[in-house]
Amino acid sequence: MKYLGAVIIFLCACTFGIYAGKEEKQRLKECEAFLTLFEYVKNRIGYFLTPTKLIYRGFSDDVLEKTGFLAELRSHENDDIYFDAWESAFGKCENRFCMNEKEKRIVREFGSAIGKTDGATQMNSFNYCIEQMRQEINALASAIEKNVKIYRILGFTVGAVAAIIIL
Amino acid sequence: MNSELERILKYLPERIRQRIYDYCSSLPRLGTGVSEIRLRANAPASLTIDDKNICIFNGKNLYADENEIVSTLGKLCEDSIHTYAETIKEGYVYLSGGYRIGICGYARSEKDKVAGIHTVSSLCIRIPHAITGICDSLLQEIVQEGDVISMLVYSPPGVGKTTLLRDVAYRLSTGNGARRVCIIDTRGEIYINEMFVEALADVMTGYPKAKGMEIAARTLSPQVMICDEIGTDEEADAILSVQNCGVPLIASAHAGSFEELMRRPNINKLVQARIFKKIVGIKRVGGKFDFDIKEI
Repeated sequence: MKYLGAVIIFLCACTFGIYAGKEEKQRLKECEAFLTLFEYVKNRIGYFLTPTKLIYRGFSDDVLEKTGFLAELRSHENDDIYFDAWESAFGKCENRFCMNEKEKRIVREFGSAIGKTDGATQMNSFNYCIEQMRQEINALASAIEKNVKIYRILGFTVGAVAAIIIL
Repeated sequence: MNSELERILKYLPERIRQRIYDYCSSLPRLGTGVSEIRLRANAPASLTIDDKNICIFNGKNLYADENEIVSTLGKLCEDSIHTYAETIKEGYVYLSGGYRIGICGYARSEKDKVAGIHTVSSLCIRIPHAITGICDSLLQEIVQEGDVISMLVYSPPGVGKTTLLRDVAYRLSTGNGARRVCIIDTRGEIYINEMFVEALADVMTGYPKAKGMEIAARTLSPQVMICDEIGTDEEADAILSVQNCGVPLIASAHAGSFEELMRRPNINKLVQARIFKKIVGIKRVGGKFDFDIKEI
């Protein structure tokens, strides 16, 4: 019984370590996907002055599709009154993202600027958010391999220590 | 309550919408005569009903604050201020279905042009009326021996020029002998999709009037052109040019009387050039249109 318990705890800790590493990778993918979406929205508004509710029709991204965020955004197209669709869609999908609070704040801030002022003012807000997200991505990308290894080693070590204590 | 009023009320802040809704529901005609809703930041909101301004709703004044005005404008623009930025500088936005929303506030000007509006203080929401059959007697004056003649309609703002032009456009573009009617609808006020479903009408929404008339004459081969509120130099020049292409024009202009109309230099220039065969002053008498027709 003792041996079985030790093995289970060891496996759980290792799995948790691997899972945490994967989440970190997913977080990077999400940030990159949002950066692509930011650039797309900026282009649609800056060059084409596209009405907000028509912007998202032409955009696709696997990461954001899987979280349901894009479908949620597009679902507002036929609203009687179209207003703050980004905030509403992100609010509904927020828990499905692996991004941290700072990254979510950047996403929210970007959404709150869409369509609220003239094109030039929006471009300033977009550029600020894009720069912030780019910095997050750079920091995350440079540390990701190291972090994934740390999570795995940590999972393995904690599991092993717990198993030894039990035995 | 009429559907045009009901649709626009959805855009207003809940508190204001409810008060207006309650008030209109208590009226004998359930708000069918409402032609305007005005929201003013920290000043009384008002309705224009049968040409009377009402600002007391069930015993109390109704006030909107700046945030409510801004969020209402955001909703009316469908969260796309960038798309409407140019017309906002011109003082309006339009919604599909013939609604025009006049905007005023604090402008940033560069030389004699408005560069942007940084604070919106009032919204004037004009409610369209999709009424047919009001131009019956006028139609006999417009169509003579099967040909449409050019005509100018005038009245002070709010009397119903646009409603009348809409009906003329509808009648000329539908039924037996329907004509290809081109509507130059710069402010999106004339054309109502549901009303023109069976009409042979081509609508140019958002085009500057002069440019719209030029494009229409060149590329759409219209049999009649309809244009609301003419009067600038460019518009007068475009009309002179189009009229030499043989396309009759039915247009409107603001003026309280024929004398006032003739004091407007560009209108006077058009009348002197015998562009319009008839000039029609309109009045509302007990909710019905009364026409004062002058042959030129």
